[in-house]
Amino acid sequence: MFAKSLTASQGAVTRDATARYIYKRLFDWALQAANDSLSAAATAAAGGEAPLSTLASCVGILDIYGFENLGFNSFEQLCVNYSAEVLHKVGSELVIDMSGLGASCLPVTSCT
Amino acid sequence: MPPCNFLYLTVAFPVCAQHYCESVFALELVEYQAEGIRYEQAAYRRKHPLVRVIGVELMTLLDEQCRLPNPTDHKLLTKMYKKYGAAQGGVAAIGAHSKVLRMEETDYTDQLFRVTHYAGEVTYSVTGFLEKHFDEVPEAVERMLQTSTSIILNPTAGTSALGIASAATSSSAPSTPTGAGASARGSVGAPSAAANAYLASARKTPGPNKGVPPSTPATAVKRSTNVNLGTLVRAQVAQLLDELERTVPHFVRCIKASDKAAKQDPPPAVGASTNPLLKKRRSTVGNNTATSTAAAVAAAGTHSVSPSLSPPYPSTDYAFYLVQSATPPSTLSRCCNSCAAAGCWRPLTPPAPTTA
Repeated sequence: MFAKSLTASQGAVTRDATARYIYKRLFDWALQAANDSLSAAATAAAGGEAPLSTLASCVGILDIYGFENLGFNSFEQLCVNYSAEVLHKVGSELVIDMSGLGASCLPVTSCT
Repeated sequence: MPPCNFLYLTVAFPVCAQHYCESVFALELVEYQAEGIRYEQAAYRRKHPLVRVIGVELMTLLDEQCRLPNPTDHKLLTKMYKKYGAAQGGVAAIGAHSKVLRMEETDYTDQLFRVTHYAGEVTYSVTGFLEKHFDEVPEAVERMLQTSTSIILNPTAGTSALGIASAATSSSAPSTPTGAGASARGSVGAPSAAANAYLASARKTPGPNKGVPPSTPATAVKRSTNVNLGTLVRAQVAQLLDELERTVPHFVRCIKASDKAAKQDPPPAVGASTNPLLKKRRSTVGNNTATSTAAAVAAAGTHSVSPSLSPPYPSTDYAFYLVQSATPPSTLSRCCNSCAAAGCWRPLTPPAPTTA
């Protein structure tokens, strides 16, 4: 074990990276714990009803970040908005396909 | 894979709601004309160049910079300006790209670039981009954490770049934590094939002059993983889309409490509106801000207010909802011969747009 001296800015960067790493691990652990507790296998192990088959239907809840536009937008906001944009694209295509609107039946997108 | 039902629970932004609203605009035309509201037909953009511009082009730029020796944010900015700056006659400054990502002359000195999202234009600052994209975790710190006795910091399963695959959110923004998505379908531990393939292609052996942002300590250069944060985000989004493709989405009706906390008039009874299928509060139409919390609704048959609601009606604001049934009502029919699908319910003759 040896100590290495860093400048203040270098130390700040290391500190921030460490904090992000710890947060990431904590988030992953909490997510896994939630999934495990809700899993059908856990229910069966706890004495509940066993799933009818391993291919049971499931219900998932998708919560998205949404759209962020703060005063100072950095890489985090870009990633968040990118994810939102992708989901937006998926959702819109899905809805248009579901509604059966063909290319020739374009809905109104602006009105005065 | 079995069909799964995912509830799109949009909290901060109505992803599906916005374009779901657009899909029922055809039905809205009837009401618009009845109320004398002017409108104009517009083409629906099916292309989304922004996904490619950010996800592929911009991330590639970031990866390239990280691999160069002595990368700086300024070098990244210069490269972006050459490509997207209109004043520079950038290659991507014309056509579809200019509508997505652009940089003005003053942006170069301010270290900004502008991206036009579906919800509006956002100005991003390039400062710190490379450092965050690189996501350097000093190896010494990682080694130290792996000696931890806490199961959170040191899971027995070992660490991987992707971590525990999340079906709900990407963990790219630790500063904005949201509710974790819980799947009732057992643990979602293994990344999907799509994400794995994506990561496999992204993992590259670093070159001899492994790019390190100058702000990181020179002592802790070696990374334990080779995946940059941007690549990780894209992989997780790919995995999420992969899972969504295996689902059958449904929509949920949400009744939002009125912001004014005031009692509202009860909605018109069935049959009173020209469109018995669609009833909507105009106050929240086209509300693109983050305050809207409701999603569209699928319900069988026709209905107005839920039978459980009786006068005095609670203070509610229906964002919008749609009744979707198997057979189209007699008042509406398919708009044209090309729309053979049963879901296309429009007046047979679309009302002509009223112009000034």
